[in-house]
Amino acid sequence: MKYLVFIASLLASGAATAEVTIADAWVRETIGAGRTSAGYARIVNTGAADRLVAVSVPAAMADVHESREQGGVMRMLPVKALEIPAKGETVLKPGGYHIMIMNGPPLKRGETVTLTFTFEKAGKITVPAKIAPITAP
Amino acid sequence: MTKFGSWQALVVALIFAAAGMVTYIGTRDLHEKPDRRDFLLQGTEGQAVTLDAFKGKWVLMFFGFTSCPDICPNTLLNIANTLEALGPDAKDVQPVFITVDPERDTGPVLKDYLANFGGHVVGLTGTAKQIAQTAARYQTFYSKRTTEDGYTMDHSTAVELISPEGVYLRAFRPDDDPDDFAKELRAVMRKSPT
Ligand SMILES: [Cu+2]
Repeated sequence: MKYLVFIASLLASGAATAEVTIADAWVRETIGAGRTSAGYARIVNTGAADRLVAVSVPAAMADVHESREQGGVMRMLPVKALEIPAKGETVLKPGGYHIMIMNGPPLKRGETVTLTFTFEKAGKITVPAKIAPITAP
Repeated sequence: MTKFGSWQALVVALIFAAAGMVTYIGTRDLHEKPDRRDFLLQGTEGQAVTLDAFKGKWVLMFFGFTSCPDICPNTLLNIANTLEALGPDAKDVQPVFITVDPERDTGPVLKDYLANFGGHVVGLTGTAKQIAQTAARYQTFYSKRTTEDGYTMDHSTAVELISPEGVYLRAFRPDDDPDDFAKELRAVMRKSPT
């Protein structure tokens, strides 16, 4: 498997395709009148360091956030630019970095929603994200 | 309706916390009286709910809000997993979710939201003042913070344990492993029989 990924990355670099890819994108469903959700993904970078500067979701407001505990109090703070290390990855996951989605249409489990990530160097990358139950870990 | 801003909420919370702390220390110094932290809140049907409503149950109480998409679902999931790990002992445990965002979290909103977490969690809301008083008694802090897209709530994330007699015992961290959490809970539950 690792071998395949290696070959794939060689092919990719030869074809000058994007060095940043998004994997495992998902968002939480909204409940009832709720209009707030969070999105998660794994951002894999095979090239030089880059920065995620914006995320957009159709008909909703979206921001990159970090959940951080300060003195026993949990806060969600906006992240202006999220570092994506060279030949590394940055993971957006519950309790850490996430895409905060607000004031959008209801998100129903089983459906998908389109997330557009904007990177400083890699530009825009659009991926479908699965809408998972609110109880998804 | 008058807007209850973040700094007012914080000031009120701090005052109540200070008062609570003084009472707590005072109580301890005098007689080691059971640490009862009464409250008056509202259930999802609008009914008045006090600490006495949970007599006979081990209460796992925590504060959050339903427009919290990242941390609160995880805490609720953790509690659901802990109850599962408790097995038959789970019937003596009652999780209670108190909203710190009564403006958006009305009874019906809370009810719909909590139904997704196994239907075991009791949701409580109340007036801004009732919630501030309750939070302060349980050393929970929260404040409203305006964002570009509206507002969000910063809040403490501890899970508080109350005995079947209504005595406050201790706080747990929500990211405790459900199996460890269940083990700790069971140890406390065995020590003081209901
Ligand atoms: Cu957030």
